[in-house]
Amino acid sequence: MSKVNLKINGKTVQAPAGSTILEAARLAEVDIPVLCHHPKLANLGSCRICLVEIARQPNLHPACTYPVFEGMEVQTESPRVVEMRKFVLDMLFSERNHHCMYCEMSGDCELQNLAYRYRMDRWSFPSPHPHMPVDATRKYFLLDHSRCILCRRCLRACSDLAANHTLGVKNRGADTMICADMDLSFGESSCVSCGTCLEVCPTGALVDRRSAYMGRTAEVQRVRSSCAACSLGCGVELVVRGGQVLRVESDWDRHNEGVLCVAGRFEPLEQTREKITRPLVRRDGQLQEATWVEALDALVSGLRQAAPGGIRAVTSGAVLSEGMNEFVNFFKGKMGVPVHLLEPALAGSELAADGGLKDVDAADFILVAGGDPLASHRVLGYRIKRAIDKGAEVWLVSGKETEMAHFAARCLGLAELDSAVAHCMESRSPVVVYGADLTAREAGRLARLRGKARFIPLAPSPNGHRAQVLGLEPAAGWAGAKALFVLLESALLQEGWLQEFRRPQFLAVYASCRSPLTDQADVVLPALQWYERQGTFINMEGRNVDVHQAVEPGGEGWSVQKLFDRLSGCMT
Amino acid sequence: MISAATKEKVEALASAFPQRRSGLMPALHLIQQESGYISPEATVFLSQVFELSRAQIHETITFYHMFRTRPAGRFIFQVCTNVSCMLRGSEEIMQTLSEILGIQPGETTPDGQFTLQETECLAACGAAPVVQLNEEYLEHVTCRQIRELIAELRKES
Ligand code: SF4
Ligand code: SF4
Ligand code: SF4
Ligand code: FES
Ligand code: FES
Repeated sequence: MSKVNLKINGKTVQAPAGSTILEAARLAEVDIPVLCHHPKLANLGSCRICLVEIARQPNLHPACTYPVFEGMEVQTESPRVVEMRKFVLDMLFSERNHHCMYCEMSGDCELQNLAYRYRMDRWSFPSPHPHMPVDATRKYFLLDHSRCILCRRCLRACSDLAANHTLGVKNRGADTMICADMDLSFGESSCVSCGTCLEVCPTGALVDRRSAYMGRTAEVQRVRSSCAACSLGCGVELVVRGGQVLRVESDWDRHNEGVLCVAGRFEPLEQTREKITRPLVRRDGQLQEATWVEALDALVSGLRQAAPGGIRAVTSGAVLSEGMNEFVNFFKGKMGVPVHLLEPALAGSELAADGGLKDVDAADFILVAGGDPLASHRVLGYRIKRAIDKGAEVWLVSGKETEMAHFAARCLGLAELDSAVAHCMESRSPVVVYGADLTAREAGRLARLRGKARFIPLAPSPNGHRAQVLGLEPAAGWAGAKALFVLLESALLQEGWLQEFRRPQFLAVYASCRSPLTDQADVVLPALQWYERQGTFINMEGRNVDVHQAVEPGGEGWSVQKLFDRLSGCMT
Repeated sequence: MISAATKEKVEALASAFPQRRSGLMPALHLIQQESGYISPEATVFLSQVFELSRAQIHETITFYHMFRTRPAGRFIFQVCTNVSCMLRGSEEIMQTLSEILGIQPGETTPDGQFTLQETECLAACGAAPVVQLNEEYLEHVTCRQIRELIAELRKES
């Protein structure tokens, strides 16, 4: 790539041709303030805070959009520039209500930081402080229009990253306001609460309800981890303070590129289930608190009474790999007991999992078969919608009603799978996304596309891939059990799991939260909460992703490894 | 309800341009002419035809003051309140209209007959004060004229 030589504040810089002044300045470690610019969003050049002076040019120009040229000389903090920046700030502060003292973002606000940087101690325009509405119709976060500077970062994030196109601006001039769809309240709008807009907002206009006023950047820790709510394993940063997870934000450097979904960003913290923090043992028909020693005793004797032919063991596919390994080693390896998986598995284990989100970006044709990414693996769904916006064609083959159907160019029944396969054959860079609704025969039909298309599985459980590698068969295997061990960890009990469930003579459950299953148990073993555990799982792209402990365990919960380590000791 | 005939006309507008979205402005005029305003239902319909988001359609509508998103009366009075007209008595005109009709600027009478609005300069300053009634300009308008006019319109309706 050809390079361009320029000078920024007298410093010589070499920048790739086509870079903006802002990009060149960052190479030279010169800090130019920005508000509407965001590194992961398209440049807009609307706020004018980044104006700089270019030698021999009469006007100031925005650094975030102006391309560099050979011999260019730029001043980023000249008296003229500084005066103009103060003027821009003055206008921004005068327009709406910025009483920082009452704002949740105070201390972390990009606008406020600039006011300090340019020593604003008053605003010179009489501020009318117009009464602006607050939209609090969404469950997890709100929009206070009086703190909005109309930078439109949220709008670009919603359209270009989440591909949801909910946001717009209504009216014009001083009446301009962010709005949803045809000016609906957010609660009624097409918003899917992915929270991408919330994360890019530079001011206190978009505010997370749960963590509001609970800690500023300087007071919190950030723990990089992976969301384990589905097999995508999106990169997250857990924002922690005082032994509590305040908020989930996204990791912009991972495959999800800053986007999360409601199940990853908000729902994990909306914990309504009762936590299990101590072992419980059934005595006289009642579950009562016990010590670990008593619980292990009860477990060992329960298993011994049924041993070995009457024991069954089943795990959720939400359990991390390290724990799942120990579980299989103990029950299958040591006890010779059949082990099963609670969630359904994907048919077509012969199909590869060799595609990723980058392949979706590059695809000209995407075949979605037997699943609905917008329901089960939403960030993948958003990415497919993004590909559609860029011109990719999506066909949906499904026997059910799906969200994805609204965006697909064609919706076919499962019987028409072959015509979709034929179309795929003719495409340049096709991607096949396949889900659990396919039968083995249908999956076999897709296998013809091996080598032609990239395959992305919609595993029904986050670590379903690992379960498949370990040879765990989907459940039903608990029929005929005298003693049953269920490894749930923090998995949510799904509707339907208990339909064919008959309580065996002895039931032991390892879980972090109370559920109808733990209520029936003879022994309940406390698991670590989702933010207390550490380990890895295999994500949809076939990669090992890390889950990091964000908070020291608060109760008496043990990791799965510790549990089986102690249990092995007791059973010998 | 958008009639089948309107739908056809809108579709024709979209396919008349190399970029479908170029047909949006004439389509908005058409819908407002036929139904008096652009309803949420129409916005959804237009977003489908022009392959734009609902928000983008709403942005376009609200950018222009003459597109309406709410039904208006049969007779729409738009009183210019800019400098020339103000100096020549537009405030009094507005007050008179407001009193006779019993509504404030921006409102419509309960019988759906009259809407009263403020408007920016109508580019007819030489004839100030100016009031626009539907598509027509009333020039050098006086309070007496306004009273007579409304009496007449009421008879008509
Ligand atoms: S939460 Fe997501 S879908 Fe809703 S407005 Fe924000 S970016 Fe758009
Ligand atoms: S809500 Fe936030 S991101 Fe959106 S325009 Fe306003 S200030 Fe910018
Ligand atoms: S798509 Fe899956 S991994 Fe990503 S945030 Fe949502 S639930 Fe978590
Ligand atoms: S950051 Fe450059 S114009 Fe807003
Ligand atoms: S000021 Fe009223 S028409 Fe120009």
